[in-house]
Amino acid sequence: MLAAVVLFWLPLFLVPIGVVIALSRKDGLRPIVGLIITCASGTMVMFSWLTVPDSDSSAGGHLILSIAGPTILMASGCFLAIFSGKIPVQRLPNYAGPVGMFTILLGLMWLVMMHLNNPPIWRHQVNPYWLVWWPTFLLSVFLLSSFVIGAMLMAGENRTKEAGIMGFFSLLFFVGLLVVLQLDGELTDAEQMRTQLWLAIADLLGTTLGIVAAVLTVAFVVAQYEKRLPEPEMVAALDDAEKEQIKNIIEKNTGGGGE
Amino acid sequence: MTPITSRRRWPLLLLPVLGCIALLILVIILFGLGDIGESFKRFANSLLTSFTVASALLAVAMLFYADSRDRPLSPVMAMLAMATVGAALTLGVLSFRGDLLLESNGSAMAQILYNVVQLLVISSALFVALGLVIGTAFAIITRFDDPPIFEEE
Repeated sequence: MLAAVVLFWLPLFLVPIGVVIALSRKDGLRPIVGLIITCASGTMVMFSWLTVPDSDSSAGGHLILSIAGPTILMASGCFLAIFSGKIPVQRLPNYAGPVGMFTILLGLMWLVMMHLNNPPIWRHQVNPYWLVWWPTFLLSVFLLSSFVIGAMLMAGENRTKEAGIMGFFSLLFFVGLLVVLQLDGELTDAEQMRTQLWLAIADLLGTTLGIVAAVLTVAFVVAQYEKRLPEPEMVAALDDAEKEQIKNIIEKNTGGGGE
Repeated sequence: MTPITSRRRWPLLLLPVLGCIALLILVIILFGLGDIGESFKRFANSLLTSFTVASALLAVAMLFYADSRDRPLSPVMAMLAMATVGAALTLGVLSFRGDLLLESNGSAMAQILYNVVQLLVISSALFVALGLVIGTAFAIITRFDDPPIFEEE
């Protein structure tokens, strides 16, 4: 029990703390300390199936480690594809675009092969969390991409071509979802996946509502706090020297001429 | 050009989402649901756990809220109180209404630990999906030339 606390639960608790510390300030040592805490704790969580194999929770760490490969591939593919496009700064060479797209596809194929042939094995059986992760991922991509298509059409001007390609991407995942629901894998069957898809919808709905409720609570708390703050004190009127300085600055910036 | 805040534009956001939800419902009708006995338990457990964990994380974020305001303690305490309420509610509901326990978990504490790992798994799926969708969207947008802002005279 103590080993699980030290080698799994404490690192798991420290991962988000490290992220908050890293993001809280941009200067000084704090971002580096936060990053070190996050990386070290994340590594300990991912290898908990080796350090505390008796703990049932270590299956979660095992799953995160199993999906790390395809995730890194997809992330690097996105990076290459975005920064080889028409952006004004730090543009990568043109061939990075197709390479990026291929890398994303490779990451996705890896996940599909995991479903069909080689799911993560934990304690000599399919990792139970893989059956949660995979349908949740497919469902999330399908729903989020539809939202992005809507955002492109709503906020963008003349973005119908891009929205169409995004629609094709979304349909690919829909077909993937159908395949998962119809085809038995080596160690998983379609019936099991149909159940898991429905449970994934319940999980996603519950998680999203819980997070939204927490965010609304924060907004309410901050609004209440801000409302109770005293009015700022009156400041003294400008003296002649300050007025002159302001006049000079305005003239310098609006007068034209110069450079 | 229709302004972004125009009411005429909102259906453009909602239509694809509603279309996808309709497709999903169609899939569920066509393929069946499988065993759905535990779906409400999973929904309730996810809701309680994500609210508690998100409140606790936001309480930590509140520690760094507005440095210029001398790091006030009252928002931190309020969020910690909300996280405590969520945790107490979870423990209470799981202890006194045993029907929310999933089959594989014998006690409220085992269920809570399972819920936290489950939240880790679901949030990782959500984050990977979000990264992939946003990354692909930007990759597609940067492939094409920006549409001209002004038509040539």
